[in-house]
Amino acid sequence: MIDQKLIEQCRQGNIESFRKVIEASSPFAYSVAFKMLGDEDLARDVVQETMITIWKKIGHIRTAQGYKTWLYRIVVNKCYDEFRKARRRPEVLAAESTWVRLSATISENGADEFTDSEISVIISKLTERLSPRQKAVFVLSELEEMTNEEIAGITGMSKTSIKANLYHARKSFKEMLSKYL
Amino acid sequence: MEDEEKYRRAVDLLKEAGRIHDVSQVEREVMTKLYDLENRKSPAVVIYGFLFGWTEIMWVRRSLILASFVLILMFVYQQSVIVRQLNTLSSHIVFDNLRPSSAIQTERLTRLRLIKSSAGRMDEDLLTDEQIQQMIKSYDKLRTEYESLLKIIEADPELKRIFNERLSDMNHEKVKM
Repeated sequence: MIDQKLIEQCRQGNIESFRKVIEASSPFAYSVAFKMLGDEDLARDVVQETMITIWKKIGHIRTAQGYKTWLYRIVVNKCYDEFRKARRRPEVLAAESTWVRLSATISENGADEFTDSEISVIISKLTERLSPRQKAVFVLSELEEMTNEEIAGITGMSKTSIKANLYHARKSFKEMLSKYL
Repeated sequence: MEDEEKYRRAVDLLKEAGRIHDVSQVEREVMTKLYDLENRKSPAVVIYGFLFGWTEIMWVRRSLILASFVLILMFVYQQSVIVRQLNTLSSHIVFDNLRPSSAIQTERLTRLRLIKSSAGRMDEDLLTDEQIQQMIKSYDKLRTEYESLLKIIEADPELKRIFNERLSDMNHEKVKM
């Protein structure tokens, strides 16, 4: 992953080292962005913006240990920006057939993974019911399997706040699953 | 299927989502964006380029550098000439029409008059200080006697008339001391 030497080289403007940083960081950044936004194109845009921000502000990082938290923090903040913009975009409603396929996937004999359109549906429904902070906590905790401490470092929330947001997010998700599937 | 099981299943499936397909493409896109950002020119940069872009032409730049060196050298030379002239001037005595109030000033005045009367031919390095002092004394004495003589002539009208006739006959030149 990212070591101190690589960070130092990037701070000195070494573009080849930065390529390695992109290579190592993009999968993590994309994973979080896609799960929060539910859209491939938006997730790619967020990843690009994140990498550019990292390049511009690499001087703020002193140690490799702080890099991962910093990376996720930037991704989550960029996703929040997208949520603000999305309020102005018209909502895309899922077709009935999508819910049928989704139900089949989740059932015991279903496929091992969701399709992109299924993921988009789930996440768009989550977007309706959850606040951006609840969604961030849900994605980082349940889907990225981070500890509360790590989430606190990324989001700036207290542990109590994280627990509360997570509780509400899980509850909403379960209600959504019961309602639609 | 119970709700909790559905929840777990959905979460497990969502965990697997969001895998990036082509990291190199992301890399390319980021590099392109970075390049565009680096090369985007601000209005200040555009104006600067318009006004001073011609200095980027190598032969123009070298010629200007050479010209600036020449100008600097000329300036230094000019300054050294001026300083030399100033040093020379400071060794000459400058005075205005102030009446001498001390013996030292009388002597300076006399020196200047001597220099003027010699029309710059007097070289002070050829004469010692003693000789100059003696010359000044002689000059002062001569001047005093001349002024006394003038007073006598002025006092006696008959003498004055004879003196003027003699002077006009000789076609005299006034000698200004």
